[in-house]
Amino acid sequence: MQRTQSTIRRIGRYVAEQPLRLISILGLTLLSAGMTLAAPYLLGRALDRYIIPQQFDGFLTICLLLFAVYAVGSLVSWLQAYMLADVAQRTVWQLRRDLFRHLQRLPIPFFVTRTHGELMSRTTNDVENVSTTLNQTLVQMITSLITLVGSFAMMVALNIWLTLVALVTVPLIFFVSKWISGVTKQQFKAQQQHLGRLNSFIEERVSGQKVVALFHQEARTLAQFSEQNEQLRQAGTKAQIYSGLMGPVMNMIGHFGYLLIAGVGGWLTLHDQATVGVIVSFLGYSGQFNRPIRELANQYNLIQSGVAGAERAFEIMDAPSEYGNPAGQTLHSLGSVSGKVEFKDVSFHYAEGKPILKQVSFTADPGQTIALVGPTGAGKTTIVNLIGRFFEHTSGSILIDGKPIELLDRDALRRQIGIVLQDAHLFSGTIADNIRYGKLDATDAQIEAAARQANAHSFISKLPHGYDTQLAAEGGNISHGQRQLITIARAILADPALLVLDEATSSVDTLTELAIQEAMKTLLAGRTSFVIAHRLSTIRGADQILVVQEGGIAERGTHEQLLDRQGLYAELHGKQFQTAATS
Amino acid sequence: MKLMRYIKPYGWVALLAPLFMLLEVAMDLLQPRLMASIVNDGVTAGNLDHIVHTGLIMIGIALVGLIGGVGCTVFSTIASQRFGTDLREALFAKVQHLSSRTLDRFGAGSLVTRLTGDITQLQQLVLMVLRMLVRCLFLAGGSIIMAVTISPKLSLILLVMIPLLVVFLIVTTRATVPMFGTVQKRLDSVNTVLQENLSGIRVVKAFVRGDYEERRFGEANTSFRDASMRAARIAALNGPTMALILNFSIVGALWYGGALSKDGSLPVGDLAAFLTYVTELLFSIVGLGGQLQMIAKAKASADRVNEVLDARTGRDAGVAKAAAAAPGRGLLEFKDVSFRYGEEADGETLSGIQFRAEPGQTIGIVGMNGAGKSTLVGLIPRLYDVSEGAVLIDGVDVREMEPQRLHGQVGMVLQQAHLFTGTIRDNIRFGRPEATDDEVEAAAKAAQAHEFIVGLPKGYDTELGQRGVNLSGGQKQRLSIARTLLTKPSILILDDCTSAVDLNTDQRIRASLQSLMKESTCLIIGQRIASVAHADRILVLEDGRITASGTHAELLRRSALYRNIAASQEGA
Repeated sequence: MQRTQSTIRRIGRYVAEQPLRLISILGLTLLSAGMTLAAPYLLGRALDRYIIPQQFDGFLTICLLLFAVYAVGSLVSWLQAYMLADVAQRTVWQLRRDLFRHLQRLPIPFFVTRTHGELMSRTTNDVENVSTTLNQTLVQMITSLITLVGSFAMMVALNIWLTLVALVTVPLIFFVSKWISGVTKQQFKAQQQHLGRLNSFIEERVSGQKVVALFHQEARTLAQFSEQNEQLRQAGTKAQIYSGLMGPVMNMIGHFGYLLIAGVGGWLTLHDQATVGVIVSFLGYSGQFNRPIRELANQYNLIQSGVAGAERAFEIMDAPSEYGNPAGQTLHSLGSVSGKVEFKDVSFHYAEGKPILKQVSFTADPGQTIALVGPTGAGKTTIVNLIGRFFEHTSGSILIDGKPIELLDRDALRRQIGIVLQDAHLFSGTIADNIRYGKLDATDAQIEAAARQANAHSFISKLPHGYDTQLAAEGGNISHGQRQLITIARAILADPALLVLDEATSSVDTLTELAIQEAMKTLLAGRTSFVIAHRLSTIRGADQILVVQEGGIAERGTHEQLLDRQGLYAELHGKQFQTAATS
Repeated sequence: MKLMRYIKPYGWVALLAPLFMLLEVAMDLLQPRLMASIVNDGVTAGNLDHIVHTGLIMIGIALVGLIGGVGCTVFSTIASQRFGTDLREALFAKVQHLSSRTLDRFGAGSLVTRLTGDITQLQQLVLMVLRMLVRCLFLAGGSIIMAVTISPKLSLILLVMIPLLVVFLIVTTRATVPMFGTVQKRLDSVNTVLQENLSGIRVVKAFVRGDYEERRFGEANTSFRDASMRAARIAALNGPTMALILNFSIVGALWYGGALSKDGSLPVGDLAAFLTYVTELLFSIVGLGGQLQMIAKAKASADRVNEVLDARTGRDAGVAKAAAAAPGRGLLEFKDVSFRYGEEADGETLSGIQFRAEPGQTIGIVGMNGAGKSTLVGLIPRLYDVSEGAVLIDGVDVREMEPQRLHGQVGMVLQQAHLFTGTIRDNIRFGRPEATDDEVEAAAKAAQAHEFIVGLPKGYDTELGQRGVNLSGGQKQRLSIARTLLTKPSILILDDCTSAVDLNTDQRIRASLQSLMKESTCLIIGQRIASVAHADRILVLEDGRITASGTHAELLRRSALYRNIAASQEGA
């Protein structure tokens, strides 16, 4: 409950950033409520004063007055809805903007531990829930409150005894709605859980459809799907039925209250305690008195889902940003970097007791090419991730140009580093746009030059639309090797002082790789580079080769030195050329 | 509305819902009538007995109304939930049989949205139609009937009001539907930017493009907001305008009714009841307006679902002519095979492919990126179908084989190792759920995966995250090899599936394959010459054609491309 309140307050702060609109909405709401209350009063007067006594002097005036009240009421409620749409949309716009901004500032491990589907859902579906809730409850609540108070005042003014009778149903409404929404909340929770489970099953099986087809497991997959689908149906049916009870039951209570008032009212008129007109007006007000209570009960579910949505969104915003500087140290500015990188006893672990890197030390002098080799999972990628501060090392120190890395401005540091990753991530857009990502103000000529250097120009110019070819988000229209070439061109264009190639050419055929290597030589010259590769041919020209094994450096040296040692490297190297040598 | 057929099996349930609703509405409509009677004959006439008597009837009617309301809720929920469940299942079954090409065209992301969001939308629509729409229609119709029976003369006002309302509804719905379409499209682009940023977060961070991405997201976000606001502002007109039209007719009724009451032809109670019915009509028509817009929104979802349901599966064309034949030994033949992606694609991806692979033989395939290697092997398990020529297994065209048999015989390891949530054991067993633990372990050993698996805290029972996020690329590849080996295929295809495996391990995998798959036909695509050098025959693929074939030694002499590739790997 405490959490709900603080979430509501937090949304409130967002909404409160538009004070002018809020005040106008409040004003319009008051006006509209006034109109809503005036209408039944005028109706009752028309009946009492004119129609029942059959006295029609001034009847036209009251009809015109009623006419005016309705017209103003409609105008006001339109303006109100118009403003409200603005407030709600602007609020969630801001919420989405802040969420996205914060997502950009979160550290990589945050993304590793959560599925994309979930983060997506929080930024869109959950925020959308907030918008719907705001739209449907903000004015509704104010109106409900005003109508409630206003109707009550009118009822009291009309007849105190009838008012007491009308109040009889209020506790009934309160308890019944509390009971129903209590049950419904549980059911909806169960439904959401089943839905979430089914969604991730679908996501996985649809994206792995080829695998399912290759193993001919369609029937079994469908059976598993049906089972989860059926569970969702059962949970959904329960949730819908329970929440659907609210309407009819409230309706019933409404009728009951109406009847009570009519009965007591009839008795009162018989004993000359009230006029027929008063009773007709009173019935109108009692309807207006009960409706907001019923609506608030109905809206309870909606508010719950809005608050739940906001909570999920705020959870992301409360995750600590990687840009925080808790120690308050002054950050070193980073001018042009000469490119000296030192690791001194660097260790790293995600979880205590499960070290990924153990006391790694090495020095890369400016302009050197360092190759990292070793079995999968040895920690090669982790080492280069620490250089870009995608992860923070847990002990030891990393120095760039002699400055401790944790005292460097993160963005300034990353601008000096070009990274090409194995998974070759590209954005939707044209090929030119994707290469330009490395340097936003690059000219077309510079883009083409970079593509030529990466040996991507020849395949790009063969495509029907050349550099303007639209890339699909999940690839498909070009091969994985070709995507890797584009990412290399992107890094070439960025022209960084430090270069990291993490399996950058694993899917590129070796002939093309050889051609790139010529370009790479010019690229690597004058830059400190770290190259991770399985193909030893890629790395034999390196100044230093670090053989990484089980989180530590097992061997180091040049290609020739390591071959002479007859160790792990020599063994790896032997395997690779064995077959070629025997031919 | 072709999707209506999914509600047919539950027709009687779907029919019961409106019937119960009719009950509730009828009871609701009777109430003001009885109210009028209480005012006319009870209150005005001073007859307390009449009030009590009518009051009891009203309570009875309210109870019947409650039964109607609850009944409608129950049956409409059952019908809509079953409808949604069946439709989702039908769509999922369809997606499973889509050809790779169609799957790529839709995109996995979009298919997931269709299976979840769009179907939920349609399910909601069915529920709403069965409950609220029916209620509004009944209430509107009933109110009109009741109003007419009270005073036909007074009801003339409705003749002016109703056409006005209908015209207004049509105009605004027409205006807002395309606006909501725009909103949906803008939302899609917000989602696209977001999705790309999540999957490419490392790239964004590495290039320090946070500000740039914020601007990109800001643009999408702002145009989504603007479109939403425009649509909402127009939609906001609906309620107040309709209320205005109806309220004017109330004033009209009061004025006219006042005149009628002068000659005593309209009792006061009746005038009050008439006003109540007109108000009831107001609410139901306002409700109808809102629901029309929901139907328009759901129409978009229905179109998206239908688009998938109507897509050609591509794989269902196969007529199982050779069903009865005994499982073959795995003789594979390509007869003058050509292939192109789609009708309109310029140029053939593969042309004139012809070769034969005997059981027990290993065929290597080499070539540069984009030469068509993956496409070629994809023709065997029918990930794609040939454009011309034929692929034969044991003399039978793969298109004429029963899918069950084809997939039982052909095992393929894909370039991208796709694993599923579940334990490692379940993942390896994916192709043969009945396999014993010993068999699973044997397959893992052959794929050189056993060692790292037992090194994990929970061994074979380690739970994998979504798509196996907690494993390295090489580990995933080895698991996917083990998964295929377990099915003991007579034709084994390895599509560059050891690219992330280190060379030592790669070597050991090859060695164990050689002894394990002695009887099988093996096709190996490899970037590394070392992966294919031991093959009985190696095909060199260039721009979709086989330009040379032979053993490693022969090709070193005969094929310039092969020589170059080999040389590039020796670093000479």
